[in-house]
Amino acid sequence: MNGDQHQVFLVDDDESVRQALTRLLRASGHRVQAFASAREFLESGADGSIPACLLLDVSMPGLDGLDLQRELQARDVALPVVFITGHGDIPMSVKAMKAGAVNFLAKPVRDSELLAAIDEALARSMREHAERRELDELRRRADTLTPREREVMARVVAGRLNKQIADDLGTSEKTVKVHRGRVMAKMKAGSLAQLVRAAERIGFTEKP
Amino acid sequence: MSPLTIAWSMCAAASAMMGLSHVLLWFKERRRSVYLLSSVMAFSAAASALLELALMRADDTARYGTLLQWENLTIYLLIISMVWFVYLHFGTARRWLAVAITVLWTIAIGINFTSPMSLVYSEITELRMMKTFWGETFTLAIGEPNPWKALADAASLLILVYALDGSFRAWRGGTREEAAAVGGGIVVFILLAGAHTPLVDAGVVATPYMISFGFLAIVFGMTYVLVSRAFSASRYARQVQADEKRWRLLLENVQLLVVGLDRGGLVNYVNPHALRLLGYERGDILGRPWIDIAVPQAERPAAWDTFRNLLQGGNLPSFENTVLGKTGEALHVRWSQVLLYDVDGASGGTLSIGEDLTPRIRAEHEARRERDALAHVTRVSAMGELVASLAHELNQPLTAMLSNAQAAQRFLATDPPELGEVRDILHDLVKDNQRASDVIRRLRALLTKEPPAFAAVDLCRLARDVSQLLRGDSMIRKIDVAVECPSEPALAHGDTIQLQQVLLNLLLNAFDAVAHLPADRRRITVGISRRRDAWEISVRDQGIGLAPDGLTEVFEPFFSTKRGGMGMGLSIARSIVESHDGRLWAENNSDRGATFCLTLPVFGALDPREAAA
Repeated sequence: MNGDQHQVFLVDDDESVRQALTRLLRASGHRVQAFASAREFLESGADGSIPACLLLDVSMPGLDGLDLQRELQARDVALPVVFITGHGDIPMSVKAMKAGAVNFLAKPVRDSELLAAIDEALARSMREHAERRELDELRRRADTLTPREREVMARVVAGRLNKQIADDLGTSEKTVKVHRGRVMAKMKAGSLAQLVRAAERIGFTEKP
Repeated sequence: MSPLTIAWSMCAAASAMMGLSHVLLWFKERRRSVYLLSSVMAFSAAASALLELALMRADDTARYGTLLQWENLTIYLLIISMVWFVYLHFGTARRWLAVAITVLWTIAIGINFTSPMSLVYSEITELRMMKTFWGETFTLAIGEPNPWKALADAASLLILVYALDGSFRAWRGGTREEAAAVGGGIVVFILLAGAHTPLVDAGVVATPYMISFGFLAIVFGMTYVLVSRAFSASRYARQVQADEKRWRLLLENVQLLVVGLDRGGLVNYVNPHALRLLGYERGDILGRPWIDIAVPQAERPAAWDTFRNLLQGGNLPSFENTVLGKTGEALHVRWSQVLLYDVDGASGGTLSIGEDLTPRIRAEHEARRERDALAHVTRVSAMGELVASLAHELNQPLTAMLSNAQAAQRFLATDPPELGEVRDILHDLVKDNQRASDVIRRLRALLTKEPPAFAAVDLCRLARDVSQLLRGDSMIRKIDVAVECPSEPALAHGDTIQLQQVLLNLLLNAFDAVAHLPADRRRITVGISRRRDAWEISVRDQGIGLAPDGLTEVFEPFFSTKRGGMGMGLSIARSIVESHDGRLWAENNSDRGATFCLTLPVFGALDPREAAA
């Protein structure tokens, strides 16, 4: 992951632990931003605009780790979470995992374990970022379509033949073909299958 | 035999008998010269009776005069003895009167023996034969009275004054019976000697001299007094004997140590209880120096000083000391001392009464030891509740250390190695190690079985230490613990470990009281404040409080509302606080929740002497 643009957020109330984990992550080539409490993290405005993960202590005074996880979900911040805890019990970890945590590590944690979990979380984050970038691109492409082209595309992905589309739209089959060609070009779809998948992913509809 | 002979002989015999008995009494008790005086009186009376009888039978004037001289001598002896008897016996008569009477009579008796016809007559003109009404004859002198007789008459007047005055004062002084007997005897005597005799002398009354009967009355009075004195003395002696027997019975059976010492500090009495406790036979210890036997060597000089001081009338309130038994075992005894006096009023030694406090002191030691042991056990068992907290508290530094070490490995592996980072890491490793050690140290302190060591305890530090110890627990249970300290240092007198235990207990209870409540009520405040000469620590929660009965019940042993709780925590906590001369109690807050308060003596205020030093 070295060299990639990414960020590890760390929230732990214990200064020694925070300092040590920060050092370890930095020594492993991560960019680290550490916070002493959940509140402090929320107020920093970190939102995962770049691939990032959150290394989060479960037990903290005030808002604890699980509270923060819940809060992030409520704010729709997509940030993979790795929990660390000094006294993890099974119900607590199940709850965390169900809520989407990447991993649940017990303190003290070995570097290999920790870094593997961080890598996994960052990979997930990058995957999500890549996916979102693709969707954004597809949506951007779809936005370039004219209303006529949208009508054509909606019918193409619905599996109708050119002839049927021409009938539907009260135009000639030849005209439909021209629109269809433009759609394929604008959506940068190499095949009908690609166009159909792109439409599915962006939830394409006739009306924008 | 003629009636006169019989009467006067009997009078003489009776007087002699009484004189004899008084002589015997005097031999028994030489110190009492009154016996000697009374026997002189009695024998004088006997002699007087015999002389009177001889006078009745006298047949020439020269012989009559000589007999009268001797008769006067007996009167003289009797009167002088009587005067001094009254003086010595009652102690109320006037000495100058006694001296005056003695001087007058001594002069009179001198004149008596220088005048041929005695003090009574300067010349006897004839001896007349008289007849009693039953026809018996006796001799009576007729003659010129001796003018010097006025001397004896004046003395008789003085005797009357002296006797009445002395008797009256004795009467008022309480010895009424004796005063009446002696006074009555003297009155009879005065009537006979002072009235009847001058009449006979003057020839007005024709009877023999009857002075000896007056004497008999006086001697009888004296005898009565002495006999009743002796009687009451012997009754008193019996009473004393009975008393002594009773006291001795008491001493022999009382469950106290009783030891009598003579002036030299030698044991002259020791009761069976003391012998039993000390393991001695009576013979082992009687006549031996108590202090050298039973007082520990180091305390002996002081004990001897105290003893001598006591003998000289020094005051000694009850005191406690150590007493050694035969086999050297030590008893702790509280003594009270009594100084005994001899018959002559000199101090005759001491009697000491002691209570053996050893069993009580031993029981107190035992109770203290048991309380400490129980405190230890409850401390150890409370560790169970601390495990989660301690695991958390140890985990934090361990986590930091591991991560720091592994970071250091990575920093060293770079080229060039980032030594600055490694240096920082090593510094933090030491710091975190110290932190972990502190947790262990606190834990070990709580588990220690050392006897309590009282010293200055910083209550704020104590409260912070304990809340630190519980930090993991409070964090997991999301309970906010605030310690509020005063601006001045809060130093109390106590044992840190035991006080930590108390606070730990109060805080864990408070945790339980609020753990299930909403976040805004999961708040516990530990307050430390000064209350006059004590520090007060309060642990205040926002829970549901205690039932009215609960305010006292919670401190009873085996009272528990927790599942699996031993119910000893608060009971032990209270006994710990009380062993610190403090108090521990619970009260409900006016709004909600309960507060447990404890007071502890301010360090230094405990002993005023220490404070002054």
